[in-house]
Amino acid sequence: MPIYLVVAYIIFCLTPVGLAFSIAARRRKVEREIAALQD
Amino acid sequence: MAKKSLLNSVLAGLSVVMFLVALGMVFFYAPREATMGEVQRIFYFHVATAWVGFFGFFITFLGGAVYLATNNRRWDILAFSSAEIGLVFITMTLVTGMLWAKPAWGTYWTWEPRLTISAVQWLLYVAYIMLRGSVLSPEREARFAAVYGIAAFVTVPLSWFAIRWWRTIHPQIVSSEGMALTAKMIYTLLFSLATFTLVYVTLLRQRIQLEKTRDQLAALRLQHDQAAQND
Repeated sequence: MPIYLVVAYIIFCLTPVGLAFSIAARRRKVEREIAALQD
Repeated sequence: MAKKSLLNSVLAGLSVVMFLVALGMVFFYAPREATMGEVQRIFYFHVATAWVGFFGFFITFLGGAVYLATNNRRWDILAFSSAEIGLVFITMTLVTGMLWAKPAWGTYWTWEPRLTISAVQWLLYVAYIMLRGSVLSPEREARFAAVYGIAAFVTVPLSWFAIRWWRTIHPQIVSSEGMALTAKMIYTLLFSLATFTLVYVTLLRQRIQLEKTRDQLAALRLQHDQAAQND
């Protein structure tokens, strides 16, 4: 299987997952700040 | 809240299942293309990510226009969230396009009309995201971003028509003569388009919730600052 195809599909698979984790991590950070303010 | 969370989980689960099925169709269902061989399989997700990028920018255009008309923050949140996701998907399109171009054209990049417009489009939306972190007041930032998002959208139809108006080496899958694909290729492409649209919706909902949580934090900080001033 051509290396270009393999690399392309690694990008296709990992990027949406990475974006989802990035959004979740940023949200958790904001929620922690909210919790700290409310204490 | 629990209902929203359940819907998010269902969407995320369905996205994963459809993504795996789409991958299976790309590698085991779609036939090997005669001219380019195995590397042509990049096509299915490459087109799907481009579609999501364009659709994301359209939602930014729409959200910006409605925000200017209504001044309602929720439309600004929609526009901003969609631009970020659109940019990530267009970046995937550009990078995987380069990976496909190397074996197909012998070079990663060439300054032909479609690719040049895509590069300009990418830079414009990077600038949009940078603008959102600017030091302007939130209202001014939102209004400026709305106008910018509407203007930047011109790159989407320009990119679509570039391969029809000008001489270009970029392939044209939909033309006046129909689609140059077999039935199995078309089904795989359509399923990939549906899958990435669902992934976009799933990510967009999460991104909107992040922005709403940030608004809550900003409001809380303001309350705290005011309370501190009164003390």
